[in-house]
Amino acid sequence: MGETGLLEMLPVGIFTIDVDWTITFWNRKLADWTGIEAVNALGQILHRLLPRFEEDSIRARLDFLMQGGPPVVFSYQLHEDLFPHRGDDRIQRVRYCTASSIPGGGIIFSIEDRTEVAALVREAHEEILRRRKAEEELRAALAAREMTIREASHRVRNNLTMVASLIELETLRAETDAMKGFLLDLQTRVGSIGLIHELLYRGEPGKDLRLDEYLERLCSTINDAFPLGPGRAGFVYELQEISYAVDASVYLGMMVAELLTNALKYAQLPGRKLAIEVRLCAVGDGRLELSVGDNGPGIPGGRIESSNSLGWELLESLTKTLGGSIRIGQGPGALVVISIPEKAKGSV
Amino acid sequence: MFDTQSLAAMTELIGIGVGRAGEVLNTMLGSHVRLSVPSLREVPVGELAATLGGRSTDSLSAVEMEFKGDFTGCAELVFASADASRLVDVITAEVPSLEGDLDSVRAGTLCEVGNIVLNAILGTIVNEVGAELEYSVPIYLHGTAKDLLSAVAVGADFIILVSTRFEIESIAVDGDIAIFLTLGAFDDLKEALRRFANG
Repeated sequence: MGETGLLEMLPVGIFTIDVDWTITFWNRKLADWTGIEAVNALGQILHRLLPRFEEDSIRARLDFLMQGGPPVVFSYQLHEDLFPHRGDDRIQRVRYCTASSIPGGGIIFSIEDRTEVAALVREAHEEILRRRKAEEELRAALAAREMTIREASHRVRNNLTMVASLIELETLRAETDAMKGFLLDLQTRVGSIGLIHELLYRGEPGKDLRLDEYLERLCSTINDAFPLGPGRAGFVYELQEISYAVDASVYLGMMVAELLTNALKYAQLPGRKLAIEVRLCAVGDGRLELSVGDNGPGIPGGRIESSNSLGWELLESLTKTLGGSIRIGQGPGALVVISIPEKAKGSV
Repeated sequence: MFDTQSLAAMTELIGIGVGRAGEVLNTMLGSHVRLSVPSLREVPVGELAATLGGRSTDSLSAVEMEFKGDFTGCAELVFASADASRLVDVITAEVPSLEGDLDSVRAGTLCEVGNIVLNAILGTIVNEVGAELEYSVPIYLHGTAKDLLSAVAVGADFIILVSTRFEIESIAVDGDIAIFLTLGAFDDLKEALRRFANG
């Protein structure tokens, strides 16, 4: 089998031209792809059979190649219609052409068909586009949901602020100290919940709340609002950076509000500035400890059970709800230590 | 090392070659392509990876063509893959591609651009200094600088590194042309350049 016989068998399109640009070889594969039989191609001048080869940019490169210059490639994207397609071939074929000089004169063109590879690439590309679109839609939906949650938190916060203001108005009209104290407690409790919604409104929806930040803000807010006598309480915070479930944080906030209100009400000793310490830390074994202490006279009787006030009942009930425990600690004044699971219960 | 005379001659020939490549690209693409050569220098083989990649893990896309004859060596046009992708996008007026890497069709396009640039430069040098070379078909390579260096089959003692800048429409893409030469080939090229410079 001669050299041209071998070229006939290759799975690529092959043709050659001589130094006069006359086509001297045209293989079967190329005839199959283009619909131009060898008998109609041989002896033809290249650019008469394939007019694109007459274009300046192509001709200049081939001229150089004809003089023995380096091989030339014609890519599909830049030369989509360099070769015709056979009449019944409805698929746009993706072809890549390389032209090399032939020792002694002339050029050999080799044309690869990359249609299948290109189709796979296109499919993969379209799949990626589809997935990106779906991802964008999901992101948009998530953003809309977050916006709704923020809006809801904002409204709840505003409504609770209004409720707290109404309670404050009622406090001014209250005729007895007992009634005033009751209303003040109520206002503090409502305020502690309102603060949570304010943090939710400003924070990232769906994420846990930074408990340390919330507790510090809560203490500061209650201290500012409380009608303490001369000089407000001084606070010492030792709060470890801890994120906690929002629902559970609401309960913890109410408990701290309760303990703080008690301290502000009962721990102030004459001639002594009230000091309150709030601590939050992980203590191992999957537990957190939250404590509120003061430098006042301490808890009467030193036992929680000795008190049957609504405040203590609330503390015990909420601690139980959180799966925790509550105890009186050893302090100069009152010290209440609440132990809770590090990971809040799924639903509280 | 290049002496002053051969360095000036090499710079001049590469400038002419790049100018010719720019003309071909302009005609072919029907849009204004400006090709410039900000610098030309010799780089020790051991420093190429750091010079090309910035970081050794950077993904690079290259078009490589080997040559043999009066000088034996290899030439590569190298881009950061993301830049190569941008270049192909703007040349083909395609929507920006999704990923930095080139698929086979777009790699073919980069191969043609590299082919035009490398042919113009090598062709100019060879024609002007009166050398004779045989060339391999250009191929597309993708990998780190180390991968590209290991793809140079001829071995290399010297590398001539030519920084190039492609300005097309509103974008500018920087690439490097690396010409790998053996010690003997480098000496032969220097001698040929001196002859060219002396007329």
